[in-house]
Amino acid sequence: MTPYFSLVLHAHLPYVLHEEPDRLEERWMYEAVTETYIPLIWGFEKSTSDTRYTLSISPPVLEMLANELFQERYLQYLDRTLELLEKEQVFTEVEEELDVIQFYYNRFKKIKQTFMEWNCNLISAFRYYVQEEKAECITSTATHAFLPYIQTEQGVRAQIVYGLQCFEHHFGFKPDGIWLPECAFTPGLDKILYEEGVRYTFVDEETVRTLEPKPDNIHAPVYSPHGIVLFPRRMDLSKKVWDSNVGYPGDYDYREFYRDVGYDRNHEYILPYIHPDGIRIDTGLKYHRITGKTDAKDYYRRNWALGKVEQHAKDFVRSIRDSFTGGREDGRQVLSLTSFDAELFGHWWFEGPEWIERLQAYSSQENIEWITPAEFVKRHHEELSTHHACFSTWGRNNYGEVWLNESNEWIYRHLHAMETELIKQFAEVDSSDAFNEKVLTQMTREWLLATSSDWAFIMDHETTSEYAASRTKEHIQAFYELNDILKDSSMGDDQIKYIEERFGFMNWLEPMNLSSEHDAYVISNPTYQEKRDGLNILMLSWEFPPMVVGGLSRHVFDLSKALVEQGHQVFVVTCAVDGYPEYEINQGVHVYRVKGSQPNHDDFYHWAGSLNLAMANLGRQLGSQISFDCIHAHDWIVSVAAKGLKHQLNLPLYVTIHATEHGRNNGIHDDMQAAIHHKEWELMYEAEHIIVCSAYMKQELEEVFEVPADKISILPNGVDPLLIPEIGGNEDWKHKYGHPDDFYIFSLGRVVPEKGFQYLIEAASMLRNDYPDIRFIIAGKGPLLEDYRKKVREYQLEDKVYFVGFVTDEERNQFLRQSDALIFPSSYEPFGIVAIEGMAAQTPIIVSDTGGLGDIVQHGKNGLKVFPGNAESIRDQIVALYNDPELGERLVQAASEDVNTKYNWTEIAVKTTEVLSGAVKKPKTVGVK
Amino acid sequence: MIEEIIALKERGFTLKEIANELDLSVGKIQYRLRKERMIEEKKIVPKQFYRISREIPTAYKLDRIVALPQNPLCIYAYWDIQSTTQHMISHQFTKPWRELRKKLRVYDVSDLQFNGHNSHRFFDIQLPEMTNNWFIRNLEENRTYIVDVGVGSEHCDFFTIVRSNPIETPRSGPSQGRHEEPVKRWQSGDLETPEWHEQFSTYSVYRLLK
Repeated sequence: MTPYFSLVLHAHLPYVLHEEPDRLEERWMYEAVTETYIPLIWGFEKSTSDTRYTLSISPPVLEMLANELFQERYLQYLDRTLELLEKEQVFTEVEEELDVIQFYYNRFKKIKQTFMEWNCNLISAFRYYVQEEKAECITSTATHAFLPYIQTEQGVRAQIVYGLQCFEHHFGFKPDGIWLPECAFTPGLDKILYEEGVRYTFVDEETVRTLEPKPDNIHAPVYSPHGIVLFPRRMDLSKKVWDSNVGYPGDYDYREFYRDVGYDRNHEYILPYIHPDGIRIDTGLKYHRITGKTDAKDYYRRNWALGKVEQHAKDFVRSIRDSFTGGREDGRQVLSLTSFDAELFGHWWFEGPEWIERLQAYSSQENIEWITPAEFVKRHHEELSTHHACFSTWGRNNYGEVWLNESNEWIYRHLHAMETELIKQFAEVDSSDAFNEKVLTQMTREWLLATSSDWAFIMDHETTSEYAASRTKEHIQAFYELNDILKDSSMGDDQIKYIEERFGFMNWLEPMNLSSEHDAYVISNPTYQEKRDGLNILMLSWEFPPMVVGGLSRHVFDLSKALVEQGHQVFVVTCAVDGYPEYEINQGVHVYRVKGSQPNHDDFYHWAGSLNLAMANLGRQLGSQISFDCIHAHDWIVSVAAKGLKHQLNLPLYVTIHATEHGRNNGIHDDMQAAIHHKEWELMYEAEHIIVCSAYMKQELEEVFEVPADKISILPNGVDPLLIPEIGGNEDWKHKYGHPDDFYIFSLGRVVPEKGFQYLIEAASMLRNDYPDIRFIIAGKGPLLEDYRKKVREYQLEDKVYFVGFVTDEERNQFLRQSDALIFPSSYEPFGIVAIEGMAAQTPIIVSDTGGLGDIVQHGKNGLKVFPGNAESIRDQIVALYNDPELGERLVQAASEDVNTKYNWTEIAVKTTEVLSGAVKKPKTVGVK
Repeated sequence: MIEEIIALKERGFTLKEIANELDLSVGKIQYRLRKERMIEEKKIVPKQFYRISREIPTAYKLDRIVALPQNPLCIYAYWDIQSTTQHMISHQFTKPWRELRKKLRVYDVSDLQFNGHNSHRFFDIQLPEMTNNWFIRNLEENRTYIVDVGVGSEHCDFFTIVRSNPIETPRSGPSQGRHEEPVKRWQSGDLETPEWHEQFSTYSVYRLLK
C-alpha cells in the first residue's frame, strides 16, 4: 500500500497596508513575499502535479498582493535592498561575509525578476500554477477572524462569504475548502460552512482526539455533524518541522533569524535602509548561521545549509513511511496530513521552501502518494464517519487561551457591539440609497478589519502589542464615526472616500444585508397601522384573558376593545400564559404576552419585578417601531415597567388604580405591604392623571396617599350586557334546590371573609320560619367554603342555603338571569363589578353600603342597600323585595338605564380617551388672572 | 530609457506596443513608469492623511451578557446594563444602584430546556463594584452553561437582570459520549436540528416583536 501524504500551508498576515507610507508593520508583508511567497513560487515552477500541495492564501494577503500601492512600495523596498547589498559588497572585508552578501545579491535580483515577470501581482503566479495543477489554492475567512468569538450567525456567515468572494474575485473560481483561522472549530460552525458551499476544512489533532463518538483512528478525516470533512493535522510529523527544540529549523547550519545587518552596522551607514525616523529594523539581510547555543555566530554557508535540507527531507520521508501502518486502518482511510503557517517556510525557517522541494523529489522515489484534500474527499467521502466535534483550536493548549485572556478580553465587547449595530443598521436603514449603501459597506469593512484574530494574538504576546491595540481601536472608532454619518448625512461623500482610502481593503465589496429574516418581516409587515387620528396606547396590565385573578383582566380587555372600536390602537403587554400565543390580535387589540427571566420566582414581589423587566424590554422594542401617544398602566404590579418606559420612551403615563394594598389589608402592617404601598404611591406620583372606578376609591387615594383631588377622574367599570345573555324559559335548575316558584337569591364571589357570606347564613336562619320558600345559592370557591358548608349544616339550613362552589359562565348567567334577587354583602369592595353584572342581568340587586357598591346603588332607585355586616338589615331588605314585586320591577328598569349609559363601555372609552389624550389635566397654575 | 517610454506613452502607445517597440517586457515598462511616478509624487507636498476623530465608546446602551468559551474549565463573560435598566432595578429594590449587591449566577443547563429555575445546579459569584467582565473558572468540561447578571438583597437571594447565551465547555480528552446517541439520532435524518447546543444563532434586533 502507498501511504497518503498531504501538505497544507496557510499564508496569512493581517492587512497592514496603510495609505500612509513607512508604517513598520507593512514590512511584515515585504518579508513574507521575499522569503516565503516568491520562494514557494520557485518551488511550484520545479514541481510536478504528482506532488501537488495545498496553499491557503488568506484574503488580507490576497488584497495586499493585488494592491498597486503595495506593489509599488515593494519594488521600492527591493531596489533599496539591492542598493544596500551593493554597498555591502564594498563595505565588507571578510571573505566569508562577502560570499553571503553575494548570495543575497543574486537572490534579491532573482526575487525582483520573478516579481516583475508576474507583472508585480503574485496572485497571477498562484493562479497559473493552479491551472498547471502544481498547486491547489484555497483561502480563509475575510479577515481571519477567530470564528468562535464572533457573536452572531450573520457575523460568521459574513466572514465566510466575504472570504470566499475575495478568493473568487482574485482567482476566478470558488474554492471548495476553507482554512478556519487558527483551526478554530466550534459546534454549529459547520452548518454555516456547509450552507455556503464549503466541503472540507482543517482542524487540530486534538479536535479529533475529543470527538464523540470516539473515532477509530485519529489520523482519519471525519465528517462533522453538518457534513464538513474535517482534516486533522498529524502532530508527530508536524512537530518535526515546527518544534523549536526538536524541529529541523533549529539545526546549527541553518540561517540565524535573530541577527540582522540592520542592527549590526553603524547608524549613519545603515540609516537610508532602516525606518526614516532612524529606528533600527530588520533589513532581511541575515548573514549568520545558528551556530549553536551561543551569541558568537558564524557566517552562513549556503551549501552546508542545503546539505541539511537533503538530510531533513530524507528523514521526513522516512518518518512518513514509518508512521504508515497500512491503509484503511480499522476500515477507515488514513492520511498523514501536515499543516503549517506558510511563513514558517522561508521567513522563520529560511531553507524551508527548498526543503519542500526536496521532500517532493524524495517522495516520488519512496513511493509516497501526495493527495490533495479535495482529491481525498472525492475518493473516500463514502467511508468517513460522523462525529460531534467540540470547540478547539491549534493554539496554546488547543482552546481559546491565546485569543481570550486578561490582555485582550476588552476587545470583544466592542467587536460584538459593532456586529449587532451593523445588523441593526442593515435592518433599519434603506440600503438601496446609494449614500447609505456606501456607508454600510465601509462599516462592514471596518468591522471585518477589527475582527482579525491577529490583533488578539499580538496582544497575547504582550510586547509590541501597541500596534494591535491601536488598529483595533482605529477600526472601532471609524465604525462609529461612520455610524454617526449614517444618522447625519450632512457629511459628504468626501469624508467617506477619505475613510475608505485609509486602507483600500476589499474595494470590490458589495455587502450583503445582514438583517435577519425576522427583522425584515417585522419592518415590512407591520401588524399595526401608520399613525391615524386615534391614539396609539401602550397598555400595561399583568392580568389579561385568559388569565383572570380578579376583575382587572376583564376590565382591561373590555376597555381595550372599546378603545379600539373608537379608532385607537391598543397594545396590551401582559404576562405569558402557557399554551397562549406570545402575540395575537384579539378583537382588534394587540396582545403581547411576556415572561420574566424568573417566571417562578418564589417571592411575588420579585416575580412581578422580573415580569416588569420583560415588559420594559418589549415596550422598548415596540416603542422603536410605533409612535405611542401614551402609556396606560393598571395597578402597582406593572409600576417598574410603567415608570421605566415613561422615561425611556418619553411618554405621558396614565394610571388606573383598581385597588390598593392599604384597602385590601385595612392598613399597612408589614414590610412587604409597605413596599407595595410605596410602589403604588410612586406610580401615582409618576402619572399625569389617575383613573379610579368609584368615588370610594378616589376618597381612599386622597386620604391615604394625599393625591390632589384634581389629579383623579372617576370612570366606572363597564359591563358588556352581551356577556350575560338572556336565557330562555327553561328553569329546570330550580328543581334541584326547591320548587320552581320559590324565591331564589343568588350571590357569587371568592369565599373569603370580606365577601360577607356568613351574614347570608345568619339572615337565612332568621327567615326560615316566616319565609320558608326563600332559598340562597352562593357560587364561588375560597378558603372558607368548607367552614360555611359546615355552618349551614349546624344551622340545619341544608335546604335553604346552597354553597355550590365553582360554576361555569353559563351556569352563572343562568343564576344571574333567573334568580329573584342578587345580593352582594361585602365588607370591602373597591368597585364591585358583580353588582353591575347583576344589573345587566335584569335582576334586582341588594348590596352592602360599602366601597364601590355603595356608589353604584342608590337605595330604592336602582337597587337596595344594607348595612355592611348586618344580618338583620339583609333580612329586612329581602323581605321588602319579597313582598313587593313591583319594587323589583322598578329597580330593574332604573338599573338597566344605568347599564346602558353610565356603565356602557363605549361611554367609558370616550371619557378614558379624554384622559389619555391629555384633555383632562390638573390646572397648571392656581390664582387670579 | 524612461524618457523613451514616456515619449511613446504620450503618443498614445499601449504598454504592449511600447514593450514591442523597445523590446522590453510589459512588467519592466510598468515598473519604470511606476518608479517615475513615485519620484514625481515625492516632489509633491506630503498628503494629509485622514484621522478618525470619533472616540471609542466607553459605554453601550445595551442590556447584554455574552459568554464565550476559553477552555474546558473556564468561560468568559462580559456584560452591559444600561442606565435606564439600572434605574428600574433601583426602583424595584428601592435602593440606589451602587448600593445593590451585584452577582453572577452560573447555571449548568446541559441537555435541558432552561426555564430560569430548572438547572442541574448553579452557583453564585459576588462581584466587586465596577466590574463588567469575569473569567468563570473551575467549571466542568463538556457541559452547557448559562450566566445571569443580577442583584441580591436581604429578602431576595437573586434577581436576574440579564441572561447570557448558553455556552458549552469543550472536552479535554477522549470522552464517553454525551453526544454519542444524539449524533446517531441526528444522522438518522429525522430531526430538523441537532439536540446539542450549536453556538451561533441569528441575531434579530426586534426579536421580541412578531
